[in-house]
Amino acid sequence: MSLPSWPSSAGQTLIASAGGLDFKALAEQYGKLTVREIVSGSSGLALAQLVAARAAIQLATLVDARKFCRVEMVPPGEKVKA
Amino acid sequence: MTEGSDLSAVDASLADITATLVVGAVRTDISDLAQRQAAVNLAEAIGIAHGNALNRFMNNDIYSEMKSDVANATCKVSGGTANNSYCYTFNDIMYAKGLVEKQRGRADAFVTYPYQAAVGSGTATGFYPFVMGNITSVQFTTAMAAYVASGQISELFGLKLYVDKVYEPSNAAAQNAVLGEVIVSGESMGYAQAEDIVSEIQRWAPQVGFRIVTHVTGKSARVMEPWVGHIIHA
Repeated sequence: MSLPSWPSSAGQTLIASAGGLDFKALAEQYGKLTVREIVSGSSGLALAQLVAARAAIQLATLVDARKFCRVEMVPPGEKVKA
Repeated sequence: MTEGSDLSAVDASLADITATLVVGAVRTDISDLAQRQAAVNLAEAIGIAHGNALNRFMNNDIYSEMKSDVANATCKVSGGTANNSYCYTFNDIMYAKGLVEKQRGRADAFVTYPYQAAVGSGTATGFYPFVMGNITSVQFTTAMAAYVASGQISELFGLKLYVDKVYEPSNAAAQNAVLGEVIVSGESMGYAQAEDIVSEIQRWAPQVGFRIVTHVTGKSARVMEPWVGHIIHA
């Protein structure tokens, strides 16, 4: 699931959650692009997505202590409406 | 119960387990000098580094909570003396398992660390010194036969093994240093997960580049304290 993105102009932030992202598919999609292209074009969110997805894969290669824990998902709460 | 009489209500003394969420985050700065690099390669390198860092953060949080109650169900390593490290033995693991099962916990996991060099005039500690200490022992060679053949061992006497460098104590010869713990998976410890891995990228003009931050939000807690059997240094 990707959070809403904003134009990658100075001072603004692009956010991506690893949940549901497929690093292999992303790598194929953006495989030919340079850093400049990926952060300045309409696909500005992609670099954050790639990093989040790869970080999630890395966790799977290590001892993850959460595996022997009872994991409780904390509700996100409702967004405050303007 | 007696036939015809009402059951007495039993107060189970249930208590809430609370955990105060914390954020673990790691940041990497990317100079514009890297703009012509393949994006996937850069993301791969940063993703690996950030994944390692967040894994350490979460594991360390869980292990710290596990180790913080050494007075509850504890056995001290056989032969350990002040300022001299000694590795745990089969006896210690079985005793810790017994401490958990004595409290009606179904012990099914053993958490420890790979290796720490000997402190003082003691012995090296951790899982691999434990393995090597028993491979030469005729009495226990059979139990280690699978390891001798394959170099891999996933369970020891029904305990799933978690051997993690992050678990290592700073000094295995310190008083009450925790060398290993027998637990019940999914019940001894809990982890409140508020946010999965999230990455952010921001243009950072003062450094002519980008900042990439990856973070998680969560916190561990001991759910069933008697079901964490500690093996500690004397």
